[in-house]
Amino acid sequence: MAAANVLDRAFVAAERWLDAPFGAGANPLRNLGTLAFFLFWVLAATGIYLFIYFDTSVEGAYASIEALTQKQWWAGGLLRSVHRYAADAFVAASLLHLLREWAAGRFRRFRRFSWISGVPLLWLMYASGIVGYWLVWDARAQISALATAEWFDAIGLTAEPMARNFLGAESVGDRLFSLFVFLHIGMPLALLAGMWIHVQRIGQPKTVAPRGLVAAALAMLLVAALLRPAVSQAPWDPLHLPPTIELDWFLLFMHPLMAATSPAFLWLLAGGATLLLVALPLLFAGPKPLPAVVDPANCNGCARCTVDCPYQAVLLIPAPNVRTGRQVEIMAERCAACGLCAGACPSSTPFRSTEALAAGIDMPDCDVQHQRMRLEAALARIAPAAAGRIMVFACSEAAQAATLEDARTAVLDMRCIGMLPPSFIEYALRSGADGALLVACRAGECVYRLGAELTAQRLAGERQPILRKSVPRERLRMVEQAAGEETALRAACDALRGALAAMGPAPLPRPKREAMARDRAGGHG
Amino acid sequence: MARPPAAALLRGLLAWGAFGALIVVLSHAPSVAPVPAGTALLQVSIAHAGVRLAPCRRLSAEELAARAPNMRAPEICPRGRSPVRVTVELDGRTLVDETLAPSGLARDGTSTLYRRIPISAGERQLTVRVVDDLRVPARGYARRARFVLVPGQVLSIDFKPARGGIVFS
Repeated sequence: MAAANVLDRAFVAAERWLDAPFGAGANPLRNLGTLAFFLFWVLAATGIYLFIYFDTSVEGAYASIEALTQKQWWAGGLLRSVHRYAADAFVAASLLHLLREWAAGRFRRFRRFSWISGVPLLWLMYASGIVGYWLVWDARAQISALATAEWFDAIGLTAEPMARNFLGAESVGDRLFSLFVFLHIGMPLALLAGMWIHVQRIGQPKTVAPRGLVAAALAMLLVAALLRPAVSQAPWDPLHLPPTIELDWFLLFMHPLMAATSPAFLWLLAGGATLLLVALPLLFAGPKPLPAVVDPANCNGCARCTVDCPYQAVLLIPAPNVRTGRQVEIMAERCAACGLCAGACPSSTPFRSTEALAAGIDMPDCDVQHQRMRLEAALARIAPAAAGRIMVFACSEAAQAATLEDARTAVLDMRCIGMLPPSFIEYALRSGADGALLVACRAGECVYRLGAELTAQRLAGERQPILRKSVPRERLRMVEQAAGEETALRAACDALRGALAAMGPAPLPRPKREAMARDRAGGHG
Repeated sequence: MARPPAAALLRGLLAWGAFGALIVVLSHAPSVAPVPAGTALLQVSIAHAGVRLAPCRRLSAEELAARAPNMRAPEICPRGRSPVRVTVELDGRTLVDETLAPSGLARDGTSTLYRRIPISAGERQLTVRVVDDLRVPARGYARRARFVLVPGQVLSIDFKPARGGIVFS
């Protein structure tokens, strides 16, 4: 998988290069799947307009598209070109999306369903696009339809060669165009259904493109359509072939490939690639994560974890024997062990005065009790310092926060910053820290998709569990720094310490269980 | 979000411009030639069921009586058909010489052939023979014709007994 690593590094570099103009939200490389969704809707909208004017007959098909292109170039002609380029961009975005996910290893275990469900979409995408070219019924359609029929004939699906349907004028009838239209509408609908299934195991999928991405993509399509309008080739003529044909290499590349090799080779290639893509998650499964566990005694069925899970691994099920009538259940094979559910759980708080903490949903290898013990031990290390004590909560995938550790800076690292219940920040500020620094992955690079985003919303009070209003926000910073950006991280930490110097100690009462905490921390505080 | 500086905007413009250029270029080029320069295309496309290997015959009274009442059709027709042999010669040189098995598990369907053969343009003599009963090879169909083919021209060969047998178009 060395190639994947090289490609991943190239993608990361390109994504970061494009963050400057667009931000992570509208960066096309960080939103390839979302871009594909948007391009699909562009195809649907422009396709509806083109269909209104399309004549479903042998004689009328070519003429109706020519009329649309020539007589209303400012509308039909423009939309035809946008339709064409949107189809190509859809293919490009989808293939880049596939490459990106493969390079990042996002096909294993809890991603398996999304990966495998994406494979048939490739077939539907190509089938939809290729049949679209046949509707024009020009020389390109002639070549494409015949080549496709020859390809299917190679596996002997029909008693008579399908290619015979495209050889002469007498074998091509108006009903063939009804079939083409049916296929060109039916297959994209199947594609849409497949796209819907594709995102079913993704929590809060981003299928609606942000405004910036929409504006840039539309502008690109319109400029392309104006500069190089899409036009038909010579009309379909079974008795004559033009010397050359302009080919759309995004959608029709397989025709010259088959001509240069053989139909059997193309079947081997397409079938082999499909099997390989489907088998990839099984061949390279990777280590099995330790899934979250539910403690029914502490779960009130509030469903925050269900909503926040990035992979739909937490289900809400009826539980007649429980007071609220519902409870959560973990689908172990879908769980990424990211801990975002634990970060969302209202019972996951260090303020409870019980000796042994337990949350409704938690990570078995890093539960709330363990986290509080680690936090208190970390706070104890910086307690002797007079001022400027900073508690750093850091995602272990982000910039290496351990490099910040000194007499005034303690670090509590975790699998994902989204695993941090906001109450831990308040607890730290009440237990000796003067400020708190949260270190997340760079925007758009969260390994578990939503960690930084959910945390920011919780801190802003937009998402439960919120950071209480009484916590002074000026003592808190959240930075998004990737591994390798430790210098910038240190600068952020120093800036926070500089700001804290003017503020003095945090004006918050000590936790009720202060005595217990003091005992654990060694008697200071 | 703060407005990105001009250099960053330029970078964005460059990125989308490059993507758009890639889309436009690969959407049209490079062009391909359906057939090599200076050649025409010969399309041999035949779908024909060979003659039945055994004729239909009437069942005898004894045979009918031996059958279940609902199976007493007076005539039976064995399903097997003869393979079809197709030969195509261009200027005396054999391009196609194939014996086509009938389709279907019972070998009772059509025999089919589909070939696309680029040939040099110019004056050409074509001879086509179709034999649909291999037990009597001499009793087939044959047609010879001379054509002046221009580059890019498509000449189709089909077999339609209703239209006299071998059809050039």
